[in-house]
Amino acid sequence: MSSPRASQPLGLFSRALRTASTMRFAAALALALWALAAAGLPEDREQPVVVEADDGIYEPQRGVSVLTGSVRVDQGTLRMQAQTVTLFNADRRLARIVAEGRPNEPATLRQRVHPDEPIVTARAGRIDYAVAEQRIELSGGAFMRRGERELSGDVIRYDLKDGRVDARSDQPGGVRMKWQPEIGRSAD
Amino acid sequence: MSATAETANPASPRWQRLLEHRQRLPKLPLWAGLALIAAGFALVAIGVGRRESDRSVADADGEPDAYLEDADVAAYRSDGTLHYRMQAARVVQVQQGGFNAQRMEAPVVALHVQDAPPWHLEADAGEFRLGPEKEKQVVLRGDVLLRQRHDDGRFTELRTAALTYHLGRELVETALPVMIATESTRSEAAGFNLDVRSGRLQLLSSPNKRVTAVVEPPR
Repeated sequence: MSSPRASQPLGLFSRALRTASTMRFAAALALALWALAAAGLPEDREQPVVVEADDGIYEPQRGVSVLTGSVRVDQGTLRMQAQTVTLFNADRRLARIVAEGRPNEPATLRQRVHPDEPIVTARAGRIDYAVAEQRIELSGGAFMRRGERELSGDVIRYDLKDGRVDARSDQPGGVRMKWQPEIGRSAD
Repeated sequence: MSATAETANPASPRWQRLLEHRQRLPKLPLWAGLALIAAGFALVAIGVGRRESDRSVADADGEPDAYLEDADVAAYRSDGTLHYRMQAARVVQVQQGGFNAQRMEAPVVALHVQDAPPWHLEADAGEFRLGPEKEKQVVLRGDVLLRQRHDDGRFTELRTAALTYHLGRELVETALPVMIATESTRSEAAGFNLDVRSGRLQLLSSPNKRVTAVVEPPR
């Protein structure tokens, strides 16, 4: 959640493209159509977060727990897997979960956003999940897929509340989107 | 024939019997002497054994040589700060390899640290002893609870069957399953070690048990 830019609302494709054209090393896309069905199941955010790992270090003074070794994080249908996961507490509550992969083994994420929709899968070097805000930021070779739609960039931000997805890259043309026509399809 | 005449006659049967008897006579003291010597050795051995046995009872490792009721001990670091305070309903002091070990009933130990609340330890039983590296240790067994509470409501509680506190390193550790509770998390692990001074808690897994944590979501 390091980017100061706010996510763009639905359908501002053209605005994102204008940004890309005026800023040599930046590109942004607001992917409205992802938002139509990408929001996570509402009960996910009310579920406990279950973490499993080979090893764990808890520092009560800092309110930080670091779990390492084939770490798996589950919250309802949301699942993250990584080499290292750091849990940050604030005000005696879990505030952030940061999952980090290792070279050639990125952190991964999957979530069933709707019982009738295909699951969302993603991978990145780092996945930063703001638990209270229900926002996820993927950074470092970020890639996201829902059904046959794919999105990649340096950073992808994913709002679990409304399913809004935002991607950007520091390189021209660094944001890539693959979109399959849905003519004749009932869903995805 | 008189008896004297019979005795004087070496050919008489009585004389022959006497001669045979005399030939046997020297053997009797030898057997008796051997028996006496053997008996003496036996008595000496028994006596020495008894004395050895008495000595081993008096100096045996593990034999109590002091008892304390409602013991309350405070220990300080070299810099003068309070290190720990140990209380127990009953303490039995025993010799272990030349070291005065103490066995405690219902011990309660407070491990004091700077800039943080103390860690409290409770158990059914405990022992203050020398470890393999001649390091002083407190071993606690039976329903062991290790707890730290902050004024703002944050807390950490660990429950296990047994653990060891290494006094020199100020390290608590166990390789037994442990359950950890904080204000927002319930965790399990196959073991742990806690650096008391920094509060850094390391949770360990085993081939059969991974580290698991369940965190309640923010509401």
